[in-house]
Amino acid sequence: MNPYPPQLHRLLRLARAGRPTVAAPVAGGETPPHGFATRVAALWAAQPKTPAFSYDLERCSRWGAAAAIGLCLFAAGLRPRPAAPPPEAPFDFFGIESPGEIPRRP
Amino acid sequence: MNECGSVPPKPPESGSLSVDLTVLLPRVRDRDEAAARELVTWLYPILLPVVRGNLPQRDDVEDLMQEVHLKIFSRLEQYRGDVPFEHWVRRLALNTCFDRLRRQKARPEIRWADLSEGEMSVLLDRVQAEMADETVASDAGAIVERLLGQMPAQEAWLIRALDLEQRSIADVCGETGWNGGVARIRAFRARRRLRKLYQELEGQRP
Repeated sequence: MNPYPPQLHRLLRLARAGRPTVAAPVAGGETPPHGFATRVAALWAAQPKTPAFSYDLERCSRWGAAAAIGLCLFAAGLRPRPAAPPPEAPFDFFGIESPGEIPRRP
Repeated sequence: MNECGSVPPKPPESGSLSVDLTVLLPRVRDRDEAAARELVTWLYPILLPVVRGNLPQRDDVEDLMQEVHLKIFSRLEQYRGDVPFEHWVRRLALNTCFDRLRRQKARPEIRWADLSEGEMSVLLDRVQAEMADETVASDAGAIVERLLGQMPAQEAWLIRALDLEQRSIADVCGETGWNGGVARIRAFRARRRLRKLYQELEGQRP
């Protein structure tokens, strides 16, 4: 299925026809400029070495954070809605009268 | 315009090279500078087409190449060998280019009035696709590149890869490390954006 309207499709087809083709690089064909390798190696050597375990720690932290967020969302989804508070009987200091059992005046 | 117009070639086969990565990489991890220099010389022809093909405007190839190499060295500990080393370095290079292109905020808007006479004729269907010569193809390419210039870097790259270079989704996934679903969704969004931009340009047609 063509995802484009006909005019845009035609434009892309024309553009495709005009694209230059580049040959695959040959090993050793493109050499770095003089001094480039030395400069990069020196800059890299000057950087402090990151301990290997820090990557694992970083990875674990990311997974841990993602799992924590997922767990929070799951728990929020499971949480029951708060029920309406029961009507309290006035002046029932000792809890004798339960709701609905308030004696009516004859 | 940047040098995005070139078709990125495939990386050289590791078998054809004289470098033994199983020996070289542990040496680099042990901070051997001579091994690092050797690795830079080996990586250079692999990374150069990626960087040249996705070079932001006003950026220098050598600067970006240096940044890519340093990033590779600093992340070498993370390479676990689950993908070929060439693929891994190409992905890092591509993502570094995307980061740089993202920072390049200016995306010049394309207007009908700014089009050249040749570009207008291409859009006005005055040229038959079968009769198209190099000039027409180049005008069409310029319009497409200007449209892509208005899109986010990653989406523009995806359109170039899928619709101009006619590469497969699997190929794109291999180069970027995305899974098939992600690549398809991104391609869908990128095409939708391109369609919208094209329609906006068509809407300005007198």
